Amino acid sequence: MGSATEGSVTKWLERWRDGDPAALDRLLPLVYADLRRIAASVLRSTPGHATLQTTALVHEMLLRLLGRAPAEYASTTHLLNASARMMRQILVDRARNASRTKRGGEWRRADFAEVAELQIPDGTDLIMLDQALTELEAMDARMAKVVELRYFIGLEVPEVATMLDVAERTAQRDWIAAHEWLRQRLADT
Amino acid sequence: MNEHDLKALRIARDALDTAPQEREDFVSQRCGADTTLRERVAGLLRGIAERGAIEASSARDDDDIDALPGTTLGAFRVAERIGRGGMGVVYRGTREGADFSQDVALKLIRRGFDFDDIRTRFLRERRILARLDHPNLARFIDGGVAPDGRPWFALEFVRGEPIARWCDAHALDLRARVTLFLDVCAAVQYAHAQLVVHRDLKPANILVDGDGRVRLLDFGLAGLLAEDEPREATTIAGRRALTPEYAAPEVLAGERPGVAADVYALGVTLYQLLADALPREIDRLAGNLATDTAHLPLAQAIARDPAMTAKRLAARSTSLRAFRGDVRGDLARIVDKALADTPGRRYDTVQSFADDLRRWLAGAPVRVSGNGLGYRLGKFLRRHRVTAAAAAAVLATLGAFGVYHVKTLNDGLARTTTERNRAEASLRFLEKLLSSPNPQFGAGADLKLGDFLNGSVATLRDDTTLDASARDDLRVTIAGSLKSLDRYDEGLAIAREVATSRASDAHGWTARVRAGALAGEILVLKGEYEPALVELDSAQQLADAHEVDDPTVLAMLLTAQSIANNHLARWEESERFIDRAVALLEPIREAKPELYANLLDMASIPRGYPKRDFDGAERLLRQALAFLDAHGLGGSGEYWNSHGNLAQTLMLAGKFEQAEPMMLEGIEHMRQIYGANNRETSFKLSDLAFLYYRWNHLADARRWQDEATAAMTAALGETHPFVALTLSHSADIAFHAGDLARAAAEARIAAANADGTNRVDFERRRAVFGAALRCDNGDASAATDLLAQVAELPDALNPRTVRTRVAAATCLVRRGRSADAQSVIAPLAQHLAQSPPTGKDRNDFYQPALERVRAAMAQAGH
Repeated sequence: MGSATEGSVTKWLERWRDGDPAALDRLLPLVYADLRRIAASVLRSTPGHATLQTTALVHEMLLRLLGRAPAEYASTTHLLNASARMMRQILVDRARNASRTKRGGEWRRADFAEVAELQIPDGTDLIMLDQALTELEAMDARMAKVVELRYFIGLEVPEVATMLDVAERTAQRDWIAAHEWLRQRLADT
Repeated sequence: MNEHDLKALRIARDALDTAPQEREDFVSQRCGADTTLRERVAGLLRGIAERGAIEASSARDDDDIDALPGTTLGAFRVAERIGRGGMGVVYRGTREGADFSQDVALKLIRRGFDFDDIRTRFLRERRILARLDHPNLARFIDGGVAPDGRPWFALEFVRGEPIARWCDAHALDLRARVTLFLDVCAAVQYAHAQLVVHRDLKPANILVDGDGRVRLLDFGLAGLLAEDEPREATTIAGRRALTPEYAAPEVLAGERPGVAADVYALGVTLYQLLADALPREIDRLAGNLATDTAHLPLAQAIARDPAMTAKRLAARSTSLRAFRGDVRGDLARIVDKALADTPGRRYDTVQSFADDLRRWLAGAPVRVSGNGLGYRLGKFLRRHRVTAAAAAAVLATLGAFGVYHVKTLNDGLARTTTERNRAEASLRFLEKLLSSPNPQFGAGADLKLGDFLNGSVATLRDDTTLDASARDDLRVTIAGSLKSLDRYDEGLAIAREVATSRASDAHGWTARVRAGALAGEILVLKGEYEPALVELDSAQQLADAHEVDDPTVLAMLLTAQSIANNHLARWEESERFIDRAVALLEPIREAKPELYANLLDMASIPRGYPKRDFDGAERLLRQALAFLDAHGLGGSGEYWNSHGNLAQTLMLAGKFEQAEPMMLEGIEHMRQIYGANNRETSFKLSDLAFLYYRWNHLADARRWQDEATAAMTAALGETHPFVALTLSHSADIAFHAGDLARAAAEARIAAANADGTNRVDFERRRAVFGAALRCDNGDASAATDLLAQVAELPDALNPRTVRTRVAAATCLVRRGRSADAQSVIAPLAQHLAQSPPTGKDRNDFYQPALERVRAAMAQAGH
């Protein structure tokens, strides 16, 4: 059983690393839906049998994507953090490549329909977004983290609050302030 | 500028932590003389407020300056505002300048909420509504775009009262409530048939109009079942707006609501209509169930709040006693099934939920499922499912088809015949893989593979380079694969689309009959037996009219008809159809040995219960085994399947000596291919334990049942419903062996973990065993309780029921209540007196059982 999954994941991984962008579209859907399910169930502490298995699978895939050893992920929180970071990285890279080739690096849902459900407003310039987030990180790392988890994993505010171990109200305020700031800033330019 | 930017954000963020009235001072203080900065902060705070995201206390009410009333939208003049939801606002409107008056409900996005995602969701609702047309749904009238750019639509204006209030006001009794509720089901069922799930069903969204007609409102959260619309729109919308009290557990856990979630919400609604209470407490803040416990039984819910009980009962024109009598038993069972925790244990369609309610109204027995036969039939149709891991392997092997599919999507490259052939070949391979009994593929379906297949259908439909017949074949094959993945609705839609289109040649007509047969099979799996027969009948007519003569396709059609009839308890029709299928395949059986043997195996089913033609069943199964053996398929999955069925048949026929070595052999085989700690292995162990149980070798029964429980627990964990099944068997054995404490304890665990179809059964057993234990411990009132519980047992001649009755009677004898004991075994005695013993089991099983009780009574001095 394990070998079958491994086989196909490995295959897509290799193709992705060999520079086939389509491979990622095949790989991420395998991982992403499960990832959010884990987030939902672990963070809202509704344990289930299935969770453990999918967790293992997702762990494995992400570890391969990120090229890290399993021991480095001590918790789901850690895993989700790394995943959000990874997704951000991937999307921005894609946007960069795209802007070099043809029509600019705007975020379009349709591009990523399979992974989708990411709550990034249509038309967002991902490269600008990335830059703004980097600056925000320097000022207030938590606010940047809130945005990252909302945008790149699609977590809800209460989930983010649990993950960052802050009151829901705090996470909500972080979110609306940072969200508005990003909106105005990206609209200005 | 960037520094300013960040500084402004810092201040705006901190300002949110202050009280609204102090905010301005706070900002001034922090900004000092820097007016640019102050402006930026103010800009941020304004933006935040406009987005309505700030705490409710400080949110601006933009509707105070509502300019819309008095203006026109399309042909309608806007009157007063009649409602405002999270994102939408509703006005009453009247048709302008018409010579008839027409009131409509005009719906728009709330001002200030016209963001992209909300707009998308709104337009989706409009599209959905425009295509629905049902007497119990508010009719869609018109739509357009307002001068300020907001899209709007007009719905028939329904004047009515929420269903719960209406029922109370009219003091409807329970039957009238259920009857009315069936109209709600009809509307939801209709929407599902249009591939729309409602997602926000609750009494507040269900009105009853002046004519007493149910009208279902608010498809604001509705989503499409099919994937013909962008997916992201549905989920963003669905998340927070749902009403937690009516949301199914899996939805609260973050899953996308589907048909099963609507069934759950309907269950909550019915529960509320019946008992005026919610089945479960919801922790609104956390958005999840406050407790993990099962919901309160209806019989208790009505009296949960003593001050209200009398009023509630009066609104139902009933008394507490009558109410409790009505909601115990089948009605509670039906509600339980609709409210099951996991979607798989709920009614799989609104139709089957409604069917059971209709049966309850008619006083007919509700559908009993979960017997071994249903399992076997379902298994034949569904065949083996695919695990996520196996599906990933399948995906990889589908490479060829994937290339074809992706290319079509991406760049429309012309495809070569070779590519197409490869695609087709890989699909055939997939179909074979999905339908072969291969131990690699356990339970659990894979959604991604289904998505992929479903998506590929659209590609195929628009493909002009493939000829029509190749296209049809591929579509039917995909529909069949979706069926194997338990994606019934999608498979059904595709099969029906093919079945009802026109064909131009013989090949095309064959594909249509095949599609029709497939649609029928899927309907059977969905539990919709009558519609399945209708579907199969039209496929049969199509076959007759166009002289379709492919024996495999015709056999498929006949087999599905046999199974549907079997589910409807029409044993004779079932037998006739399957026999015809066998006869049809006879001439080509050498070419299709597996299918032929499978049909022989299937033909044994209608000969079992209740016909009890075990000899006939045995003959067919032996024939199937011999045929497989002769064609080099002696050790195949099919072979062991029939082997196990033969052993069971022999056991049922009371031929224990023959069945025993076969079962041992089967277990050995299972252990080799599945391993010792596996579900399938455990089932075989339970079968053997049951054989010893019937054979009165209780020590052996105990030993094997313990092994079965251990294997099942190791495979699936302690709380899995299948473990409950083995524990229930174990409790039976303990009870019969006189270990009442163990029986009661195990039955309790079994009942707690049982799934929908078994729960009622196990509950009954728990009650009987518990009462027997108390009775034995000298609790005088328990004997009466025991009597009452035994009276509830179904199917007096079921071997397990017989055992239970006998042991309960023995208990009663020990308490000196021989007359009661007599009444407990009366149905058994009566049956034996009326019908001459026909089978060996009668002599070995029922008669001795009776004798034991009589001996006990004699000993007690009666």
